[in-house]
Amino acid sequence: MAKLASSILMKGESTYKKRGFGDWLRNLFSKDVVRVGDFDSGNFKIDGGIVSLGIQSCPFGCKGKDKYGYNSFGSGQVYVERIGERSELLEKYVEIQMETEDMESEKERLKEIGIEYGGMIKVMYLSSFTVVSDLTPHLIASHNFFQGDASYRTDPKKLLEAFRGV
Amino acid sequence: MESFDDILRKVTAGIGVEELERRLRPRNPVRDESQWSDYSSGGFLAPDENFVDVVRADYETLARWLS
Repeated sequence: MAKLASSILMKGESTYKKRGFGDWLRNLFSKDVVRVGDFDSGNFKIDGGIVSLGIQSCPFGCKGKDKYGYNSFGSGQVYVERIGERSELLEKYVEIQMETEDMESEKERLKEIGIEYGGMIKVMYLSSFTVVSDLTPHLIASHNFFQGDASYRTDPKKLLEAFRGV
Repeated sequence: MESFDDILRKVTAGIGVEELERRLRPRNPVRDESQWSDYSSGGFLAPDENFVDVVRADYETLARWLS
């Protein structure tokens, strides 16, 4: 699957060079690449599970499916795709959660590593995970819109890393 | 390669930067702006973020990676 994703990405890059970003972005979110999320091995393992962050609608005002077949609304499910090995920060976070028995000491220990209580999404982001909601393909394919470098949005750099299997 | 202005025109087509920024910000008032240091509470843009800067940064990232 990693090879398939890389091959699609390379094809996409070639399109980008010939025809510009719009076509390249649509290729990036071809259905084959999106299916990477279902696969459970190698660099594309879904390790963080699915987090519900509420319903998202397209800020551009689209309704239903777009012309590429993507939904213009999100169920709020966010897929966190694994890139490489767990970082020390993530290991430490999990260790603290396993070892501490009460919420107050957990809060204190998490504070020591610079994480607020309940900050799992931040930990994942800092640990080289990327966040892809089910609205993301539509935003990119139809509107050429990524969302910048923040833990709750899709950072194009991390997206490329994930699809390239770096 | 497309210029950033061309890309921005495509991203904001039919809607405009100001209206898009309005829609991308959270609907509910943000009580404590410091909470935006890393996470969203319902919107795509933090109160101190500029939409054009976010899009520019993304495309500069992509251009660097694809050059």
